[in-house]
Amino acid sequence: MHLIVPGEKLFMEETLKRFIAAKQSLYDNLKQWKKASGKKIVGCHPMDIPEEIVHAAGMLPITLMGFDGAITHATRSLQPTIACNILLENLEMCLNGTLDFLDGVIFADVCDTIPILSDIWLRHSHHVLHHLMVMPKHLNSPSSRRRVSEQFLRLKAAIEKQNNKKISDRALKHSIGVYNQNRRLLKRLYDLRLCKPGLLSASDVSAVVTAGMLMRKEDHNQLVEQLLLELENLPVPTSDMHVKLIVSGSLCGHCDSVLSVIDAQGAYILEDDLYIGSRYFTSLTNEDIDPIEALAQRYVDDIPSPTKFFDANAWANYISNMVIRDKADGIIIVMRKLCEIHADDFPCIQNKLNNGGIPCLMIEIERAGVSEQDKTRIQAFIDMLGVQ
Amino acid sequence: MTWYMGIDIGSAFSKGMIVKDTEPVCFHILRSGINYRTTANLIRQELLSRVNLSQNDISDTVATGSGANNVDFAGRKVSDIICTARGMNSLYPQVRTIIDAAGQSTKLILIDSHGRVTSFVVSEKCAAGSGWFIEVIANVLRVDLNEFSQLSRLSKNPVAFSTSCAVFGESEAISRVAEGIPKEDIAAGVNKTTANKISSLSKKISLEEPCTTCGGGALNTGLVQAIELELKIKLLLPPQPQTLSCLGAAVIARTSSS
Ligand code: SF4
Repeated sequence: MHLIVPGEKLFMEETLKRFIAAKQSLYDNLKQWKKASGKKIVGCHPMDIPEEIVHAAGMLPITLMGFDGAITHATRSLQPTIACNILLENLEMCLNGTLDFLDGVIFADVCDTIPILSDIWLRHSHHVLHHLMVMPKHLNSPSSRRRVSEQFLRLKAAIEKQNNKKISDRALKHSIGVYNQNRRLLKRLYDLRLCKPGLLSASDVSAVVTAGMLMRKEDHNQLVEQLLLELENLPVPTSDMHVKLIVSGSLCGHCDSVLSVIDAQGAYILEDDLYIGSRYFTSLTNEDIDPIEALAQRYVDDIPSPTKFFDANAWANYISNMVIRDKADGIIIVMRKLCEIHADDFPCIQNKLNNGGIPCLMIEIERAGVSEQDKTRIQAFIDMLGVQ
Repeated sequence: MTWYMGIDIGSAFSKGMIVKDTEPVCFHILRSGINYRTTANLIRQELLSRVNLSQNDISDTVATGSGANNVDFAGRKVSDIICTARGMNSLYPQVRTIIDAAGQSTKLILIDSHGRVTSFVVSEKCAAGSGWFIEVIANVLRVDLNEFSQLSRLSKNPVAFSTSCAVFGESEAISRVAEGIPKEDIAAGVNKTTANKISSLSKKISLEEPCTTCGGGALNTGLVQAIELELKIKLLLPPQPQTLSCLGAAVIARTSSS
């Protein structure tokens, strides 16, 4: 953590500690919350789940983002040669009982292996709600938005059936408002980091975003607001001595080990294009139109994503523009091993960056840790942009 | 007169060097052991005693290598790829590609005329095809690395290894010994496999000549020969190939102070 004003250090550390605690004691917190509130919790397999619909039903949507423990059961059901570790880790938590406290689970077929995971999950779990959204992939046809709306309506109907209660438009609009508020607050945090690089470490920013995916958005909004109040008053001397980076990728899960190496190396991240990062909160939902239509519109008009096909260059252009706009020294792309949708787009991204003379390092991660070789790569890349 | 120190705490060996103005003065190499902090201090003591100096005489120290964080007396840390490049450039400014065959990994580094890294690739996450692989097989053959290197150069018929993984390679070497295959053919086979691995790594980067090699692997002349054959290049061999990174660290300490 980079904290500048000694008198205010403790206060802000306390707020940050609450985000880190929310992330670390995830399941205990959630079980306690469920017991105390009597509410239902639904696991959302990353990515692209319209959590607002779950929220509007009075349930708590949380993102399933894997775990660090041993994978022993999952590899018997799902071939480790075709499945990335996020899939295996989430399945392991389903099979070993860690996720028994969930009342439901929702998947979107963001990659080809998710429907297989969903089938296996259905056979082994006791979750009352089990829903797989089959999303249109080509979003540039006139019917795409209608087909997205249909999928969201199906999800809404499935939740209503399980709860035996309709989700009103009013409730859904309210939830969209809560989520938009969360996105605006996180955007403010990111804007602050961009103009005061080094104000927060990359690991701290990741803890703030992660916590929001695992707790009530209303509570998260309060915490982020408190953090912003403290941060906005901190006079942070900016320094040109540090290498400034963009980090992109890490679909469906975190890459905290990579972020820690970047922090330890003294480089600053100006902005990110990570799933547990700006990809989660960048686009707002229109609050003035039919709520399902609005969610579908957000889905279609969202920032470029490898889960949705418009134009093969869209993601590459988006990333390269981010580096240029922020005047970053380079970019680190974190790719999850066996993530075919990311691997498919990578050559195009690499070409775009190479042609633009943007220094780029690709790191392939398997699970939570980072190998010595990858540490060496990150350190050398940062030194290449800085020391020499 | 100004003195600078470079310390490289690697996974297998740790090295240190003192340079005076622009000239390397002395170096020291130790096995890294399990307490990197102690190793770093032992290297420092030895270096200082050889030139009869105290720590106060050293203007700046730069640490590098995977254990660089343990060098408490260093002014700063710099990645070993950057240090190796700078060290090599101070000896051979004409070199454009470095093949660093280290204990746990292999690195191919492209540099410009100022010793700045322009691109690099590092071998996979495990120690396959690295110095560790060779050390494991040398143990199976009950020879030290020096003998291993000599033996390999005598071979007329290198045995084919199906793996460069140290664990699987060990069982394969044991099977070959049991079949009565001569030691020299096994040693040459291992060097050939390692050279193959380096060759596939080189496909990810465009090698530019003149090329050189360093790291512990460069002491294995059988491996150097195998790399030259495999890549169809001639390799420049620095006098103390294990010390390039600590030399570079000392050079960086000197450059940043000036
Ligand atoms: S990381 Fe990639 S492969 Fe893994 S679940 Fe997500 S989209 Fe699929």
